[in-house]
Amino acid sequence: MKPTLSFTEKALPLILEAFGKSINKDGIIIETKTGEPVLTPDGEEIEAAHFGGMKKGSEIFLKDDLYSIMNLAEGKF
Amino acid sequence: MSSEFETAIDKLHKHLRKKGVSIFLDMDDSQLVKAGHFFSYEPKSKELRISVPELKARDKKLLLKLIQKVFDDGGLLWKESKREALIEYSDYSSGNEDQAILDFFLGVLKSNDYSALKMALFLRSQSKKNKSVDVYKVDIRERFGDRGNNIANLCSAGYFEDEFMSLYDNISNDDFWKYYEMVVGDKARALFVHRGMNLNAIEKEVEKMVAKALKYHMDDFRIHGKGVGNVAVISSFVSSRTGKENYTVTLKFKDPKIQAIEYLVKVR
Repeated sequence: MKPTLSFTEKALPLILEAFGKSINKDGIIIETKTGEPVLTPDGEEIEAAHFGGMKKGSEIFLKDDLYSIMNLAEGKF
Repeated sequence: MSSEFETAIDKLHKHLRKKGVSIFLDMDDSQLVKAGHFFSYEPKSKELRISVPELKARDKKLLLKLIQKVFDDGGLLWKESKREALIEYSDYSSGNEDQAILDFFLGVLKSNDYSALKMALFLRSQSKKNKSVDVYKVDIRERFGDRGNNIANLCSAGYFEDEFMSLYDNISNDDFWKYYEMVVGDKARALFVHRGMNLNAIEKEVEKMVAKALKYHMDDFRIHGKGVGNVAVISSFVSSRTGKENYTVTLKFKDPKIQAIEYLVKVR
């Protein structure tokens, strides 16, 4: 599996902004409108520093750890 | 600038319509920007590089739309620094050399142990290729704690295929799970020496392992070490035994090429 768009840490705010998300003062990714944290398919909050990426299926937000990579590569998300 | 940007965005959309194009998005003051461009397209690799350190509001809107379009078309947006990891895991899982082990333990192990084992097998595979696995070790520990870390160590030393697979088929279910829990949960079968351990720490851990062996009525356990420092400190531990301890230590395996060592400790 190869990403269609890969982004650097510096470009992360732009990626989030494209989908109405931002980073709160604690470094957590949130819905900009409501302030609610964005969750992974396992119901975990995502620190911006550990945000891996997103894929369609409405909007699936993923962490960047091996567990997420494994499930992403195997089509579990 | 805006009209220039619009023209450029149009060009970007045209490139995106080509099959197999991948995008690299940065917001740095890159070589591209210094050269007066904010994107470049490499036809051979089909890579579109975009670098935009500063954007006017109107230009930003156009770029956000482009990102949304990539996503809406089913594209995966992924962190550049983990791109290689994703590709490597995908390659590993599509021609999985460890599939027989995974098939065996699927439905046998609980979900978390099975996931930890899967990650550990990948880590072992990468380690064999001399690739750095430190970040994956941290990932396993952070997600599955000390138990996950132990699974990774046991997997690396071959316990899953060499011990658990044959035991599962040859002893009762009850006995298997008692043994498994003793090895995985209570870490009573193997001591894995890591970088933070000195001679004193190994001596203390070995004493704990001896106590566990007596508790579980086991005759022996093993000490494993990988890496120059770990092998050296284990060797130093072994050579400083006086013979008066309530255990004996015998070398079982040594590979100077990969700097790995294994000792069998027999409890008297």
